[in-house]
Amino acid sequence: MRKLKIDSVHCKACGLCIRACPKKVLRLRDKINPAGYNYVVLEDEEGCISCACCALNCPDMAISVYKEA
Amino acid sequence: MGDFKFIKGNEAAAEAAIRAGCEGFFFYPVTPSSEIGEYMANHLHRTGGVFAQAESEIAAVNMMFGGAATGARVMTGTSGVGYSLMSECISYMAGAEVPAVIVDVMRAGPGLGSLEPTQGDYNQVTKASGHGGHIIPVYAPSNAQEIVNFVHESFGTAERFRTPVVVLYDGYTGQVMESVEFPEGRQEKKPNTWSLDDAPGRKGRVVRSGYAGGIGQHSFELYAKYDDMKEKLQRFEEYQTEDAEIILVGFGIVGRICKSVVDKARDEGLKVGLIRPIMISPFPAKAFAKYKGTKVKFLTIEMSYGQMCHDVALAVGENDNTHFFRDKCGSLPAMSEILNRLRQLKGENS
Amino acid sequence: MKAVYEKTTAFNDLVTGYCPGCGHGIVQRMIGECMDELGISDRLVAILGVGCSSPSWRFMTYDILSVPHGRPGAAASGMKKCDPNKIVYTYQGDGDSGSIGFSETVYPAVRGDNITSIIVNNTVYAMTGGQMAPTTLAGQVTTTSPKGRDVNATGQPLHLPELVASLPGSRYVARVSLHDTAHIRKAKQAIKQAFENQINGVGYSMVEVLSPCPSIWRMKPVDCMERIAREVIREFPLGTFKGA
Repeated sequence: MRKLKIDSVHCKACGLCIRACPKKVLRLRDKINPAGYNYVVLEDEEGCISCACCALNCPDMAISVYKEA
Repeated sequence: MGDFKFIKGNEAAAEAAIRAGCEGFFFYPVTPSSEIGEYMANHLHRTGGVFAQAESEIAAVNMMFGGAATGARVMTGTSGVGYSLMSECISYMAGAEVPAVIVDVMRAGPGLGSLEPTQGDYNQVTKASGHGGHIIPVYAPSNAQEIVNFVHESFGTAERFRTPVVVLYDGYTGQVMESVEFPEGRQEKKPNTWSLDDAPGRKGRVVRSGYAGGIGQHSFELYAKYDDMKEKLQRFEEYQTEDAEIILVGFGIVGRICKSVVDKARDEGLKVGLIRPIMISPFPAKAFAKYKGTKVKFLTIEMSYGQMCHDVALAVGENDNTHFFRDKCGSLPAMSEILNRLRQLKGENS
Repeated sequence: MKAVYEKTTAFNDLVTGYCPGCGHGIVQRMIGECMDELGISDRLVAILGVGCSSPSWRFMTYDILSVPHGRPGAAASGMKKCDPNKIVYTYQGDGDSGSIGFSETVYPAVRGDNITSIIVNNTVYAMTGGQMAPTTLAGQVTTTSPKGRDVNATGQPLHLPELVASLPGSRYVARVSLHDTAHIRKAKQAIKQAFENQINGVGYSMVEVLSPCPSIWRMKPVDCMERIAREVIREFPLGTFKGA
């Protein structure tokens, strides 16, 4: 299971998660969602430390965060 | 034996509301209606109801809106100037289809006007209770007993049609003390599926008048309600109209005076009758249907420049049969003046 | 895998109507989380004024009352009187609360009503297209202050929390911000404190949240956050003005 579950339909490419991520592992994809936004994708699964800063900054609740148990 | 009280009109309104099951009363003082609030402040707690005086009529009516949204049975009492401030929220409550009772005790306007009585708020209340073109039921009691009956009944009407309801009378009717009998028991309160009640675990609900993108459908639903009201709520009193050649039309306190005028006119051999609208919204057009094509003349009496007379003219159909006797607001029309006008009309007839 | 963070139950699965990067989404999310954490979904009622937040009932799963522009404070007082079991919060913009609704926003604090007032301050009237608001900064350009706000003509930006904190009836008053993760966490704490106050009958609480408005400020969301950090906070200092 992945550390981040990003709901591409809800993402509006506002970039606040990318700014907030301490590990700089998020970026906007070149693909677009149904509304035409380049939604966010977790580039480097290893780099993610599941700190949830991205989710806390997301105005659209598009990110769920998980950690190895 | 009923429960009789010798009581001021305004206080009768408050007592009737308490007995009908009013659960929340929110108001701002304004002459000539303040006794309603004062009475509630002293007595509403008797049945566990809550009372609050707000910082303005705008706040009072929005407090009422907040209470009504929970399904509580709520009321306010005000006068024309307060009703003007409340109109925005009355429109919102009409759009959100939320029941509430508003007792409006008219005082002479425009502007600060005077405390004396008037009927100058007829159009405001029946036609323009805020923006949006909604229709709301309006009762027009002519004495303290009718204030009691209609306030009692208004909660049922408000909840049945899910709408604000107004009980409109003038300063005199509110201030005069009369003997009244209070109806038995509370107005039955049926459960509903729209209010933000305390039913545990139910799905979230929304009480709103905003229908961006859906206002068309919503307006059709409201129109159906207005048709239903027109069908079921037209109400009037007929007095000696069977053989009348001239029919007086007057509501509220003027309607009461007109009844005495009819008796006096009959003594002089003038065939006069009275139609007294009891619900002035929806206007009782039904009362005039049977006179279509007849020679009967109508004389509308109002303490204003003339407002209800237009509804009468519309209901009667042809304009030549409807006449209007305007009296300055601030004082009751003298019976002698109306009789003179009737004699004139009779003269024109023969 | 263990869930570290998941979406609050206060929202359904519709995409919200807010602009990309709008603060409403973050504030409403925090309120939703408070609802979940405090277990009050059966009792919570949002009373919405008129502004960008007006249509937010579409995305919510709990009770909502939408009232005229500026009037949530009065509606909340009336609702709380009729049903003290409700946990009632007013949700307004800076214009709804500090301009047209000034009296209805301040009076619950005068009375000490046990309600929670949440104000989202983006220094403009956004829904109507970006006009000047009571909180517009000195010199800030809006569609109705084209040469920048002239404080000599329109007065200084309004500090509603400081004013409400001076009233004996208010128990907890704070101003918070959304401009970075640390401040978002603090904002959540303040909002949660405000709701706990109401649940425990402590009394009137108000939290004003400095919020970005990319569409009207004509800035990218990330730049809006910088503007809040650099400029807006200088005019509107953060902190707890009353209550723990």
